Amino acid sequence: MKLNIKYNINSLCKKILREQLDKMGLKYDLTTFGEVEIRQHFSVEEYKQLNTALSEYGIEIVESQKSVLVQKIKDVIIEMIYLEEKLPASKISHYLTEKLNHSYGYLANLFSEVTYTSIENFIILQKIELVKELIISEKLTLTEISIKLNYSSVAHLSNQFKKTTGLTPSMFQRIIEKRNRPAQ
Amino acid sequence: MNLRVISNSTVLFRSAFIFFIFILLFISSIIYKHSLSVNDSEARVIHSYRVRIELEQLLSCMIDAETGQRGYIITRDTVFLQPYNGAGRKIRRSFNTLRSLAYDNQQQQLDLVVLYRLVIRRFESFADVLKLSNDQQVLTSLRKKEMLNGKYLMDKIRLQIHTMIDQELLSLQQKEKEHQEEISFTPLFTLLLMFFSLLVFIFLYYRINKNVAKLRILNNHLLIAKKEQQHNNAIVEGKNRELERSNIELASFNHMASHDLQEPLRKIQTFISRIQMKEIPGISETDRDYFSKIQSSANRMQKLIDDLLLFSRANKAEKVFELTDLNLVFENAKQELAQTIEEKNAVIQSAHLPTIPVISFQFQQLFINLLSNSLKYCKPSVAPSIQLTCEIVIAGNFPVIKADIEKKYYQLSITDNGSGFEPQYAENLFTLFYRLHHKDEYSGTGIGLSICKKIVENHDGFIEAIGEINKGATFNVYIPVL
Amino acid sequence: MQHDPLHILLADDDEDDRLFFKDAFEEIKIKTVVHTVNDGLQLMNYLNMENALLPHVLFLDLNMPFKNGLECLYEIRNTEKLKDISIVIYSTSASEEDIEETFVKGANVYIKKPNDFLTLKKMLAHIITINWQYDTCGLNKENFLLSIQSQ
Repeated sequence: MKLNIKYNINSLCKKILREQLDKMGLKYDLTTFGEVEIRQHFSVEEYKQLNTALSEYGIEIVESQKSVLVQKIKDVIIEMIYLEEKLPASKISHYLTEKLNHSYGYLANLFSEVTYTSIENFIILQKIELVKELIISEKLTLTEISIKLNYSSVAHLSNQFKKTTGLTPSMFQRIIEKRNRPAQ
Repeated sequence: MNLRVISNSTVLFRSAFIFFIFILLFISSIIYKHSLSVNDSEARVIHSYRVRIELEQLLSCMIDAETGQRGYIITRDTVFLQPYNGAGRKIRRSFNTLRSLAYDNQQQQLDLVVLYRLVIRRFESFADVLKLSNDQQVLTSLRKKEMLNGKYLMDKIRLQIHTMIDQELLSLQQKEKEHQEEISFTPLFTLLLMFFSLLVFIFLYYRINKNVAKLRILNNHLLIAKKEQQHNNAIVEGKNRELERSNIELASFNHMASHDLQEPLRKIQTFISRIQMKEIPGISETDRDYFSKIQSSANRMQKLIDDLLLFSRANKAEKVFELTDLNLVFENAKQELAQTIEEKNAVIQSAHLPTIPVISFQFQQLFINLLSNSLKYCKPSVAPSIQLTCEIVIAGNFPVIKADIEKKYYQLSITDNGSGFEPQYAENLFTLFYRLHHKDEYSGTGIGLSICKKIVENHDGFIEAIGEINKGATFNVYIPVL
Repeated sequence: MQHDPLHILLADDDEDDRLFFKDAFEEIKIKTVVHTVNDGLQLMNYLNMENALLPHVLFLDLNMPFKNGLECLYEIRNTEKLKDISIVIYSTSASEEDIEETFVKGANVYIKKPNDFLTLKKMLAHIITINWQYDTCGLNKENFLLSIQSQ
């Protein structure tokens, strides 16, 4: 029997962090998204141990300031895309500047320096990923998806999808369906 | 012509057969009536006989009674009265019998009544005479008078009975005469009919024989023709197999050539591109230029090979026909060309399309090629507007369709408002690598429409192009309705 | 941002293509370690070794002797420890149907070998970047499908 699952990454991560930190007996605070304050002396071994434990879940303790900021940019963008129903189309730069307290230019440069890709591309990638999820799990039509994610038309959505993945949305859907069909 | 004669015979035979049945039924009914009649006659004779016997018995009884009485009067011996005593009963029985026999004869019944009265009177007379003779004192002359009266009555009775017997005989004779008249005709009639039927039967038999002979001849002809055809079929099959073989060879040659040619070509292009990227001190402007030209030519060759490969792939062998919703196929084609559509602000409208058995990838390529064609050859400052319609039409109305006049086809029409083409080139458009424009004006190798034609042919269909310069173009695709 | 260099593995029977590939990666800014094998059999032997260093991204040519790309693809996707490798089909042109088939069989990316070195570099950089995004942003790798064909 097939179940359709939606995950709230935020609460997932928090739970895992709590589990692991509790397991190690550490006193901590979960402050903002992506931040943990360890309220005691924390040795290098413990650090490594925690990192190893968390990496099994795909969670990394991020090191440098730059990485931190870039991670924050990513998180903000993801939050924006996944959680808000109608995306603010052209106000992304303002949104980021507001949330992270740096100029957009600085953020953009930092982002491409670290990730080798631009913020715009990242946003498009995330959006298209969401489109893929919506196509598969919620079986929305392209028109509905294009409205939900604030595209100017279905053609615009198809266009961006094709540019990003090289496949048309229909082909993508067909491939996933064929993959999930029981072996013939 | 022969067949008509034979079928006429069939009609004739059938009607003759029905005629026979009727004759038989008719004859049977006549014979049946005849037998009934004979039975009736027999019954009547017996009836008459019984009446006469009964009447005679009655008379005899009366006479016995009279004789007995006389004997007694003479001898005074009561033994002579036996017949007299028993007579009443016998006579009553006789009358009952006679009455039942006379149930359908009014006259006889009346006669019986008369007779009965006479008999009663006679018995009364008997009784009187006995009384008188038993009385010693009665005068002989009185007794004699009564006896004479009795004799007189007896004579009357005798007369009545004889009359009745005669009547009976007469009526029997009359009825027999009638009966004879009735049935005398029948045997002759029956005989005539049977004779006539026999004639008809012989005639038909003769005709059928003739027809069967004709049929045999025709059958022989058919067998000969069939053998010839089988022979021809074998030849055609042989040729077909040859053709198939050579087609398969051609297709695989085509495919391999295109595919294998690509590799070295690609290497040439890639290595040249690497050289171009390097800053080699000794290379002059002209040399660089030459490299560019090599690259251009190689790219052109690449495109040609790509198209040849596409063309060779659009074959029918090993392809699966499956029920496909053409609306989805068209939608996907639009998605493939989404970028161009958006760039040119093209408006594409389509009618509802049917779900039919097609090779879905090929049909998608067909739509993509036709749409892409319309988008490419649009008027410079006019946004392309493209319509796709679908109707069912009859083959006979469209000369491009080479099939039975009555056959139905789907007509898929793609119309655009582009720059069109001169009508005289309408057929050439589908020729491999044929181009109407200089290669620098519009990109492309001119294979798109040939591929379209090939795909349409794979589906047993037909394609045509209709257009005028600056008045747009219409491409009609005809696919048979199954 | 990468701590460790990405491991790249190419399976291709053509010497020139292997050369282009390695040279292209050398000129890309991202830190990578590139290995190549010459055919399908070598590939599977390498991958199935006990302590094999599994690549992050595997580039697979379709037309190889001994074992062609599709067979390898099928085997890899059905092997527990190899399931999560990103697989890029790196091939000369194929028909739409064939491309779809490789995706259905579990490939993540399909690229038609370009005829221009610069394009090759860009393509490879693009693929590595996207792949890395999938690995670090918690995106569903099963939906990672990318097709690059036109020049």
